[in-house]
Amino acid sequence: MTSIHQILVGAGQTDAITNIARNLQLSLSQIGTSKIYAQHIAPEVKDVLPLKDYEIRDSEDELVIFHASDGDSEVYRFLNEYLNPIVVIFHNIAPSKFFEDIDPSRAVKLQQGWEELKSLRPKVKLCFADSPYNASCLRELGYTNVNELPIGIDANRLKSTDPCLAMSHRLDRESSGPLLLFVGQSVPHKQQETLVQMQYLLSHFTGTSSTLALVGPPTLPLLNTAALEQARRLQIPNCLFLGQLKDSELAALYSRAKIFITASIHEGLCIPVLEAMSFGIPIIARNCAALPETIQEAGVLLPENAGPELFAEAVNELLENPSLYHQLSEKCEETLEHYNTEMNAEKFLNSLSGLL
Amino acid sequence: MKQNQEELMTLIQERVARRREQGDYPAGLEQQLDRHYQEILKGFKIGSEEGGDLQAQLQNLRNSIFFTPDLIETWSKNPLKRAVHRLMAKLTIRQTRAILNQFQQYAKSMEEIIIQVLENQELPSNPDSKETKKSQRSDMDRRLSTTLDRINQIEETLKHRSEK
Repeated sequence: MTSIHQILVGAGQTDAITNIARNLQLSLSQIGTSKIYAQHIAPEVKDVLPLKDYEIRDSEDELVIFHASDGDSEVYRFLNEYLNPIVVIFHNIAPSKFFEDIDPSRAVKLQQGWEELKSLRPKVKLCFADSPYNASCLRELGYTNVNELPIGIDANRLKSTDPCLAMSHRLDRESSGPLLLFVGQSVPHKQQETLVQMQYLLSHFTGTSSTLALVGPPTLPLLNTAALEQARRLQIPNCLFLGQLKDSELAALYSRAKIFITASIHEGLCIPVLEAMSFGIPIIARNCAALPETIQEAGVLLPENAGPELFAEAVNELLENPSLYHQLSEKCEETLEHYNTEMNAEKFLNSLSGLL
Repeated sequence: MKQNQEELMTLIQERVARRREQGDYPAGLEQQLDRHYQEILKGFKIGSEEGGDLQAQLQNLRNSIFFTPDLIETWSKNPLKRAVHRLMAKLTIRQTRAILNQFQQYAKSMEEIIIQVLENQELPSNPDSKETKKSQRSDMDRRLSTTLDRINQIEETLKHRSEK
């Protein structure tokens, strides 16, 4: 009996990589048994098993798919002891330099993640990267024959989710003007403070009535607190810090959002950008890492060092220029064609057949 | 008319330049905002975070200060080599112990110096100490007050809107 199991470093209920593993599990179940294991599992997650429960056995009909996204010595110890072929799907690991000042222990862990992935190379029989940028990172680590395939990504996931009514009511009450949405973790390289400062310029200097909603898990609460404190001290109106939300709440926000905006300087792919595009929402982002290849012509790409002024004027241009807005919005659907879940799953399964 | 990224970027840069010329964006505003944020962030970056990291490293150091001849491997796949290693270990045990004792004493002195340096930097070495708890509490209070202020602000906005 064929068994293809997936290994994650961490699993969360709304975590993007856990969702990718769940989507992939549906396809893998067609050819054999398929379970998801993780080293760190959020309490609310019920469909992922602890990695310590994985029983390693020497069988030709078994292989594991490892989703590389972080460093963890226990996970790599497991992979090094594993006897059968390993398939890697690389989702990128944040460079440690962004964390050195603010969270040195996390920086060490991330650096280990890169080194562990490099050392795993001889055991990997097949490797995939979900974006050309991630593929180039894998090649830099010495991996060859890297397959570029956005496996398990369902960009339309939230489009088919019923929007939460309570969140819609909340937005009716607390927002005014066009909604500018950011979705992402609070980590140094996402630079959400630039967006808060942009909202300050829009409200105090250009007279634009807009609402900025910042959504995402407070991975480093310190960054959220500091951005919130700046918003408070500068009396910035309509700046909503909404934290981690359920899918239905996110769907309500995407349904309402006029522009998706991110000041991130490092992304391996950026799934929230794809989700925004599924709602036809144009993107404003910096022209760096995987962002240009993900967004293509469905948004405005600002220079890598763009500050709040450029962000504010990009928002104003999009709001005041309806033909440009529609031009970018129309490009969204075309850009998402690359992320066809069924087609990519089929390509992936065909690649695996050579190993079993 | 369709615009490509380059044209779009020029358009946006021109908008910023116009704002600056008209005085809408005062000179140095971005830098000022960034400095403002960095100062806030520095204020929240409590010493205990850095201290905690140093404490963890100190703990690692403590765990590694245990020198014993038992940790010196004498095993070999080759039985002859194995016998030679064991014989050598037995013959040199007195010298090995003396060297390890010197290392042990050196490491202990180093550990004491590091603890003193940490104390001089006023980094709490005990997570349950009064100072640490006070610092954590003060940080919690600041965060709570920020949140309460924000809630007040939202309530005020809602009140104004309902009055309109």
